[in-house]
Formats: sequence, structure tokens, C-alpha cells
Amino acid sequence: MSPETRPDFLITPEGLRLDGRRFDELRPIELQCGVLKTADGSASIRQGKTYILAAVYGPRELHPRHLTLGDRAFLRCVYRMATFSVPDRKKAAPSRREREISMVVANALEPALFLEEFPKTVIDVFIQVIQADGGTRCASITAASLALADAGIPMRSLVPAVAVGKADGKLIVDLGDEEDKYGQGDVPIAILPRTEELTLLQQDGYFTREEFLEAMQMGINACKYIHELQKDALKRAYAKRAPEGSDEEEEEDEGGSEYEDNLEADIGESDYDEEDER
Amino acid sequence: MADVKSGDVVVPGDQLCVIEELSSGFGTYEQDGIVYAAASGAVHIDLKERSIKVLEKDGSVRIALPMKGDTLVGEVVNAYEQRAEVSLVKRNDADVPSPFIGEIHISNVTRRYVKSMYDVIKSGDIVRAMATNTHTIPVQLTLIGPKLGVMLAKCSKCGNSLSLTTGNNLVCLRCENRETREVASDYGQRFGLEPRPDLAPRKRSYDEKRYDSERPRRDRESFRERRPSRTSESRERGRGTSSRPVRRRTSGDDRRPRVRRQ
Repeated sequence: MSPETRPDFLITPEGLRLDGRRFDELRPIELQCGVLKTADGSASIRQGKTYILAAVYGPRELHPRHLTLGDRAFLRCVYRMATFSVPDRKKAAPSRREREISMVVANALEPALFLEEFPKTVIDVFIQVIQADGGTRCASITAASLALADAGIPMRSLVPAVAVGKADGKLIVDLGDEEDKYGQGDVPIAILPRTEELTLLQQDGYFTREEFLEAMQMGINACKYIHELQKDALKRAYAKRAPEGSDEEEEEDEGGSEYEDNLEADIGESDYDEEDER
Repeated sequence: MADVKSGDVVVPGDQLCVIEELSSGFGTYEQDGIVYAAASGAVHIDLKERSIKVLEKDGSVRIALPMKGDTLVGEVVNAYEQRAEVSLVKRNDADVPSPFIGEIHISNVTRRYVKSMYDVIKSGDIVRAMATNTHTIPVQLTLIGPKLGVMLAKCSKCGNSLSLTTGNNLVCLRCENRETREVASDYGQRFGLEPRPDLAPRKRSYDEKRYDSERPRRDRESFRERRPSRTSESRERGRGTSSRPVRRRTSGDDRRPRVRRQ
């Protein structure tokens, strides 16, 4: 058992959180698309110390066949935590919590997808938590929706998600592991940003009505920020796949060859050629 | 005009235009009269069709399922009298991570009449086919076209790769078994099998075939018994693609029941 003790306070006397963040400040988020070679779509998210990979396969044939739905695709989400993702070794068998989060993630993503366009198929979403430091279910949704978009599956919108919680009586956004464990409450939410429709809303702990409404507003604002990061990651992935303009691509090739020529000039080879010609 | 122009990079949920301006095509959806992007990619506006699409840079749709017109390569896993099932592993010359199933109906193999799927495709063949529908499973395939067809076939007797002689005739160089397939124009070339036109099935003259038709029936039957029946079967199959009607059967002197013809 790793030595873990409850910190004396979750909010410092200066009004900052344990890792020096303000109440409505997110951890640094790093999103990346197309991280896995064999998946149809993939994404990774690094949110503070949390690191999660999401892979999407499909739409493809569903085995076992009896699970196929005649009018739409079957969205199969699997959330797994690596045995080394937490301080104590996590047992390899899927736990009740993992099964619950798998279902919750599937339900959060489903309203954003046009599943009825691909009847009798399955869209597999595999989420692997490499390192867990709080907020994994929200980070999973953020990464999985990005992986779905990377796979080219038609979506109404990306789905950003974030957790809002309460620690020492203050509402805080994007809980870390200790704030999650020793705080007084936790509300993970996922939204469709354009319409602000909620696709995930869970609660742990107690909130007054006013607190809850304020927490919702803080969460929606944070989600919109994450949505911008998601859009940016997708555009970066697109630019990587197809460098700007086919004409410019050729120019790049020419530039490359010019560079090689310069190298030859440096070692004096091109000079020799010229002399030979003379 | 629209909120975006051709070439703009958009992500799912971005507003593109209103439905009165442009109708929604691939990678877009329409809700309450407004067209939004459903996929990430570049905007392609077609003013002739007045439609808007979101596609990759090269104009393709980024999704794992094949579209109409895609060239697919796979192995025939099951062949039946009327149809064949193909496990597809390549799409437009790129490997697919998770193989999907395609179906070929006998009417989509060639333009001419095909009596049985076994005359043109057998299980274990490697075929190049084209998808005829978009984003469905199983994928409906067609082999009609010079570049489409069987790329490699195995001998049904010994399992050796068959070499092409002429037309759709194949020969096994190990056991001299002759078979027919609906072959692609580059049959075997990717697998190092040179065409062997010198081994083409010899055409027998019409006289030779019916040289004994005027003789009494008893004579002919005794001749049939002496002859091993298998060679006659395989020789006939070697001629499967010829348009010559099978006279021997219609003449009514063949009492041997033929299972495949029933």
C-alpha cells in the first residue's frame, strides 16, 4: 500500500488548489489524433497526469452476430485501466466500475453519432487508461469522441467532457485525484457544445441547488474550452494527413532536392561534376 | 453565400450554410434548415449540383466501409452455385485493418451467361472486385471489367497455383488438371505466374467428337465403359467457356446421370 494521507487542506489559504490552480482552471490538456497505426481512428489525451488512449475500429461486421441491430450500428465501448495505471496494482479482470464507465461513455457518445447510417455494423471504441490521476471518465469521453471523428464516422458534434466538484466548500473544475478522493462532491458532465445538451450527468456527494446550478455553468464553460482544443487537434491531424495543397507538396519535394544539392556542394561533389563536364 | 468556401478545414458540428444555398452531401447533415459538417476534412462545394461535401484532400471519404466504385481485393471464402463470399483485405491498394465480407452474385461475374459459380470462381481464389453499393455490410461486388476478376487460383485437385493458358482457361503444372475461372487481365502476374499459351486446351474437330455417332449404340457404350470417366469430365470442364452447345447431352444417348446439370 502506497503511503497516502489526506492533505490538511484542499484549498490553500491563498485561495489556490493543491497543484496551484485557480477554482475554474483546467489542468494542461494535450490532445492528439491518429496515434495508433492499425486503428481506423485513434486519439490520445494527456490531462495533467492522466494519460488515455482511445481507438476506434469500424463500422465493421459485428461478431457475435446475434447482437446486430437491424436499423442502426451497435456502439460498443470498452473502458479499461492498465494494471499499472494506479499506485496499487489494479487487478486485470474488468471491475464493476470499468463496466459502468464503459456503458456511461457509450451513452454519452451515442447522441452525437449517426448510428442509423450503418445498420447491422458495429463501431468499436476501445479506451485504455495508461495513467490515472482523476477525471478519467471525462477524459475518456473527450478522447473517444476525437477518435470517432478521426475514423471519419459522421457525428453531429464532438463531445467534450469535464468534472466539476466541491472541495472545502468551494466549487472547482477538473478534479485531480486527491480532490476527487477527499473532496465533498463530484459532477462529471459531457455536452454537445452547440446546443449545450447534456449527454452525461452523474453526481457524487451533496450539492445545494445554487451550488449545482453554478457547477453546471462552470462545467459548460470548461467543456467549451475543451471543445476548442478538440477542434484544433482534428485540424492538426488533417494538416498532417494532407499537407497544404498538392502543388505546394511538389514544391516541397523540389525544396528537398535543392537541399540535397546543397549537401553535395558542401562535400564538393557537384564541383567535380562541373569540372568533368568541362 | 455560404459561411465557408471550398478548401476550408472543418470539424464535426461546424455550421456550413443554409439548406436554401446548398444541399447536404457526404460528410454533412442538415438540421432545422442549416447544414452542418458531420466529418472532419475540407469543404468541397459543387455549384453545378449545388451540393456541399466534407471530404479528404484527395476527394475520398474517410471511413472504414467501402464506397461504390472502390477496388477491393480479397480471398473467396465460400462459393455456392449462385453466389460467392469474399473476405476483403485491400481497399484501393491499401490494407484494411479489419477484413470485411463481400458478396458476388452470379449475375455480376461477367456479361455472358454463367451456368454455375463453380465455373468462374472457387473458394480459395484471390479476386479483385469493385463495390457496387456504398457503406453497407455485406458489400455487393462486381467482377465485370477487364481489370477485375480472379488474380490467383489454386488447383482444386492438388492445391498448386494454376497457370493461365488462354482466355479463361487455366492449367495446373503439377497435376495437369485443367480448370476455368473468370480471370483478371493480369492473372498471376503479381504472383510470378507466367501465362502459358502453349498449354492451351487443344480444340477437337467436330468430326472427331462425333466420329462414332453413326455406329450402333452397343458399340459406343462399350467404348464409354472402357474409357475412364474422369478424363472426359475434366476435359469438358476445360472447354467450359466455349459457346459450343453440348450436343452429346441433347442427342439423348447419354444415360449417365450428371449431378451438376440437374
